[in-house]
Amino acid sequence: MQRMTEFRSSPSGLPDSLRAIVERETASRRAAAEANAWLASIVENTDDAILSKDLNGIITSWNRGATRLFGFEPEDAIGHHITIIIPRERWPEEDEIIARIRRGESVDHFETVRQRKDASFVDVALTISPVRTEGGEILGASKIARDISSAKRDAERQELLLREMNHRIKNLFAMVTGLISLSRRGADSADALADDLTTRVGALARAHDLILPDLRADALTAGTTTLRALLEAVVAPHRDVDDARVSIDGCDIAVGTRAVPSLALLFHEFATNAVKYGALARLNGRLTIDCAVSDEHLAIEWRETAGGVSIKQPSSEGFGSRLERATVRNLAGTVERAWRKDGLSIRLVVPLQRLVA
Amino acid sequence: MDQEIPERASVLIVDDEWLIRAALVDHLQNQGFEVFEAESASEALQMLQAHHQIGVVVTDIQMPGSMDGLALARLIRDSYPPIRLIIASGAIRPTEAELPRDTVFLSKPIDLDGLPSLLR
Repeated sequence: MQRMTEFRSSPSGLPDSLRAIVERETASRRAAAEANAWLASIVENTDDAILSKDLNGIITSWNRGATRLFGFEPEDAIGHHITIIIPRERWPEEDEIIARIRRGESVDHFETVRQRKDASFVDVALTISPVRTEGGEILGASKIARDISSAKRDAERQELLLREMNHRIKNLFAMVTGLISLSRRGADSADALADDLTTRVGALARAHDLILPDLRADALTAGTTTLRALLEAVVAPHRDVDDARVSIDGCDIAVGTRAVPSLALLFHEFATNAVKYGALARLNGRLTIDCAVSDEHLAIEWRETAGGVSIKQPSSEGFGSRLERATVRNLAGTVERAWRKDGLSIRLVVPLQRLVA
Repeated sequence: MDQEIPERASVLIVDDEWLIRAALVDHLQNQGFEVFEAESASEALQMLQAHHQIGVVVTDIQMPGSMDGLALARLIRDSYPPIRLIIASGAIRPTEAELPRDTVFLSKPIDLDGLPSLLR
């Protein structure tokens, strides 16, 4: 008591030194509590699902992110076994995870599938770490589950796109190789061959632009275009804007990816001949293209007049004719030409079935 | 299914790439061959049933459908032993063991000038 009377007392009655200890302890506890609250707030408000479980797999904590991801409220989850969010066929995964946790190991970015309360599945990446006492004893595990459904969809879409591009590039190489082989015979000169090939490959390139897949669509679908868009694209290099010499009328139908290159090359041959010898070789020429569908077939009437001048019929068969024959054969169609005094008429008939492919 | 192969046999070209097929057909027709074409193995089998004069088959390996060119060639070798087989590919180089017996393999692109001598 004596000694105690020697301590200076504060108004609270505690000696100053003791009061300092108490205040430090109080401040320390407050700081720890604030840190815990801060941490709890982060855990509670993060987008990831964060939960913990004991070594028997019983859920011991469940944040708001877990509720959002799996659909279970904390009271539906805490105290229940972790298998409420694991599809039955994946239960062995949990045995493996618990075994690793017991060995003190962590599981980092394990991609798997989990199940929501409504029984739907969700792709997740799991990070699981042991939870220890201060003495190092393993009590259970903390688990962070991140929804990777969107990332997986993006990756699958990217893979699909790459496959499609790879397929198309191979097709284009094959087509160009075929064009070169087909052009080889009967070329008048290397320059003429180069010019013809350049314009034909150009026609293929314009056709290819029309059937690019829609990258914004949810599902990557094969591109399609329409007959009119294809005709416009092929004829475009051979006429001025608002060129009254050319008119495209009649029906318009969808044309599928496989038919587009064939049609583009065929129309390109028609148009090239019109520029060299026919309607588009003269200012007062006229080209009308009429499309009609009947009896499961598309009929295209390609009519050229050259302003009162007759259009000369080629005396021999050139590469264009051979390409045309191969193209029509590929489309299982027919083509007929009628050379008249006032011009040329071409009738192309193709089964619709071949056009939508 | 034995059949007599004429000296200048008719040729069946099997390739799903129509312009490659067209170039071969055009070149061989110009050399005087009768040429048939098919864009798949199943279409090729229909052609063989319909045109008994076919004595040579030139087939690509990679084709859509349930049967590729190698499987087609094996089937032809078993069902039509006298038919001469030429397998071509730019992507795959089959081993000797994968090729049916008496089969010629050509790398793509096919040398058009050298092809007719293989067909006669």
